[in-house]
Amino acid sequence: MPDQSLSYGSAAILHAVASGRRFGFDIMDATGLTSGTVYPALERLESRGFVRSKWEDEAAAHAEGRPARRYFTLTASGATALKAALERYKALRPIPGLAAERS
Amino acid sequence: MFRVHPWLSTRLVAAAARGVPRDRRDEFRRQWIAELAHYAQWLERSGESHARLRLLARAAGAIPHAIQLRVLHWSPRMLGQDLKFAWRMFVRRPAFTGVAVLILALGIGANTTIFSWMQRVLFSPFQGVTRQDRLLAVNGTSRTRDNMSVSYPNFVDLRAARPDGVADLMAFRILPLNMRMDGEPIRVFGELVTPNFFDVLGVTPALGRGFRAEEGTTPGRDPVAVITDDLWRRRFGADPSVVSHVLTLNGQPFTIVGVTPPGFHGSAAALRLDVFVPMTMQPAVMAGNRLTQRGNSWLEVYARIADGRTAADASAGLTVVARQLEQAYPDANRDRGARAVPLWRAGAGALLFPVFGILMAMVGLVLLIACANVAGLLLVRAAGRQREIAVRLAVGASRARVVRQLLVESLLLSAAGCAAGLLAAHWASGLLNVFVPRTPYPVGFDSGLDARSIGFAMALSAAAAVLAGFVPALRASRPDLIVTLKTTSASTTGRRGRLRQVLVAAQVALSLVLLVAASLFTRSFTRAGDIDPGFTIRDGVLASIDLLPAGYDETRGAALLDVLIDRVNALPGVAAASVGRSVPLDFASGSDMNVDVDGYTPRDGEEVNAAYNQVGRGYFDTMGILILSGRAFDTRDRAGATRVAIVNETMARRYWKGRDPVGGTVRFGSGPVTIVGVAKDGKYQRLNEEPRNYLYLPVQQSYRPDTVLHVRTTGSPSAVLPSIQAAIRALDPNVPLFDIRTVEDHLAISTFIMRIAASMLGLFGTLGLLLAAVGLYGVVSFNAAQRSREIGLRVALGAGRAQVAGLVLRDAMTVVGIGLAAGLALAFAAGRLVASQLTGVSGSDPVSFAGTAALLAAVAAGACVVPAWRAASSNPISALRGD
Repeated sequence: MPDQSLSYGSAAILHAVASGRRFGFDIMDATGLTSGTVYPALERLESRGFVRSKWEDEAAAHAEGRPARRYFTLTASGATALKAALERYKALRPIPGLAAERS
Repeated sequence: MFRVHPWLSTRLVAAAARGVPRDRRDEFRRQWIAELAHYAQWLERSGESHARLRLLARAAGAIPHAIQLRVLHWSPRMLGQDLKFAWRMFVRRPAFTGVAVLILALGIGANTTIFSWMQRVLFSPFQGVTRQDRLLAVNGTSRTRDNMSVSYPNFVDLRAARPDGVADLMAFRILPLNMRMDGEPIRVFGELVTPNFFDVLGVTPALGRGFRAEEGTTPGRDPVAVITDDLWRRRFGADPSVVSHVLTLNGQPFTIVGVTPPGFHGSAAALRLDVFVPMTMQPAVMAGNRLTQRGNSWLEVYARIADGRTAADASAGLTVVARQLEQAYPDANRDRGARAVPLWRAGAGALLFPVFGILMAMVGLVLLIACANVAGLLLVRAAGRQREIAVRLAVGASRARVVRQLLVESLLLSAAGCAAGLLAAHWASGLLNVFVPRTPYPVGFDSGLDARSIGFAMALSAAAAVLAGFVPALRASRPDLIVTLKTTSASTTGRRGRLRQVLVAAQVALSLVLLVAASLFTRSFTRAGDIDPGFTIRDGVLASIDLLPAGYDETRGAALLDVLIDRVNALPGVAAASVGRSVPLDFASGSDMNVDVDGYTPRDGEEVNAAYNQVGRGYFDTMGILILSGRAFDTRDRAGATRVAIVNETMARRYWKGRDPVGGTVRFGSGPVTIVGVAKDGKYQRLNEEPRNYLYLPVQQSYRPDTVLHVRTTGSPSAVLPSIQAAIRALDPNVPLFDIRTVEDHLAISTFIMRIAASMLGLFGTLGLLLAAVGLYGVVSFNAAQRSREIGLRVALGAGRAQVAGLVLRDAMTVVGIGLAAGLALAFAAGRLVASQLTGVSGSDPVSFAGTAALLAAVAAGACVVPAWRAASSNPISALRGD
């Protein structure tokens, strides 16, 4: 059985993804974590199968006058891991940014 | 269209992208461009300040991201391959492997040893105590001092006020105890503790119980004791029925209620304490009743930080309560505050911290030298593997792949070095005890490595692997393929050769810094003997006496001391004898008090504070302390007579300004005290202290039941000891002499810390010197081998051996010279940093600098001569034929 436990930061990021923050900038905004934490963590979470990523349609992005984004979504195993993590970190201080989460 | 972002941020992302595995690189770039575009837009909209800097900070995240992708790319399967290959390479070259592992083991072992000492003494000094990083020492403060004790009433109020950020507070006092079970009394050290002592430390007794809260309420009611596992095994044969046994402490019966878990020995770093009794039993085991006097500060206090709070929170909370206590009790607490400091800044830690800091920096240098040495070895070896590496690159291995392979090799080397280093450190961790002089205190350091020290060693060896392996790996994998494949190894020197020389120069420079530091501390240690401590006694005996447990009250005690001084003085072989409460130069903080000097008006905010000692008549003669003016104490100075005192030179100078203090008066406590003499200045606590105020009081007027018998002998102290003991026994068989030591033993205490520094630095200096010599030897041999054709040619053309050897030697010594120059500059900087820890030598002591530089140059020349001569002696025919 692979290790399902998440670090504090990873749990916060997963929580953000679960609540609809789908790309780097938005996740940083929600969690208050730095780019140097969020981006590597997303790669790690993807390699562990907790999130999946997909590139947005290039044309659609350009129509909005911005570059295309790499969107992240939660997988089923990611949802399980997040549930366990929220259980574990419940007793601690609220994760930065999550208190103001729109769900 | 989105805005173009500042140049620097895009450059940063582009640079990071170069480290990303090729198949992910494009995606990486697109993702970061999108991120920066988005952020730039947002920054502009929200009108944030320093937008460009913020953008750059965000772009910096690309670096860890790239590293993460690189790591993920490096799958475990490939790591296994790399390891297997690395292992094969090592087995094939056992000599190289052995030397490299040994060098790394020395570096890592030395670092881990010093780290484990710091860990044991400074950062987790108490075995068996949970979360020591969450404990703070609470010191009392005055206007001029910040390391004072705390009085019992102040402690009780401090705790009752529940300071914010503090989970709980406990107080303790270390004290010597005469313990009697049956037969002779033995000397043990114990602690008077508040009942929550074990709770705050997180110690649960292994047998029986700790103290109950009600055992801290009524003075004298609860004669109970908890003993350590160590004492239980030593004195009670690990008898499980020890609980409810009765033992006698300072003449009072105490019932044992518990035994602490193995390893625990109290709350003082480096001291082994054996018995714990409730604070409320203080009057039974110590002179006077100190539980009710708010002005009598005698306790040490530790606080445990509340969960989820910081040390700063706790410290602030304590300061607030201390201020309330100052307002509530303005008489006793005027200008008194409280300050919380980490444990390593209290007690023994504060004394040892600077020295350990210096040792840690110096072993860091040893490791750097070791890394430079191994890097040199790896470069030499890579030169021998150029063809192998070139072939790998030619058949399509990426450079990153080759670098990784080479890095795995150095990781494997350093892992082996780490294992060997840990073994060495495990053994060496107990060495600290070797330096401990004979003291009246039960000093002892734990040995063995804790988890943090092991983690430290592992982190260090990973760093060493990268430090030693990265540059050689980059160099070895440079894709100048064609050249390498075409030519033979014999003619490729050039830049690679230069890098090796830089490494050697660095080793020489760093080992010079080590040697200079070692020399400074060794000379400081030897110079310490030349410092005038203010007293001349050298042959003599010191022995502690405690009249309280023997049942003496003040009148009888003072009378006994009077007779005792006469009896010992009359013994053959005794030049002079007296008593004194404290012996100079024992690092104990001693006692001091505030003094009012009649006729001296302190400046605003000035506090006149003097340390003091209660001494018997004949004390100054016994110690060899000169009386510069007035008289020493004599039989006139007894209880009921005019109260008198003797001041030291510093006090006389500061408060009487050139007038003779004799006949002047000072006040402390109650009534005037007449100054009858001025004593020569001395060193009271440590050899390198600044001059300080000191007062001597006659023991007959300021009685103390615990004192030290000082005897100056005409011959060998040990010859006189039996007759001294017999004389005391004849006086009263119930008064034992304990902590008997010679004056020489005692003086060793004052140089204890310097001795640790000098010995360890000497060892590290030698180690650094050896490593540098080995590195130099290797490089000179290798360079000479590389030049064997040229050398052969020169010899064939008629050059003499000495000429050729001189050529090789000159090249090598140029490198050494550069290293020495750099090392001298570094050592000057280091000398300034350590100057405050030196005694009698300056940080730029010319003897240390010139001597070590000459030594290093000589050793370096020795290391070069052998390979140079060998190169010159080689047969020119075989060298020219070559391959």
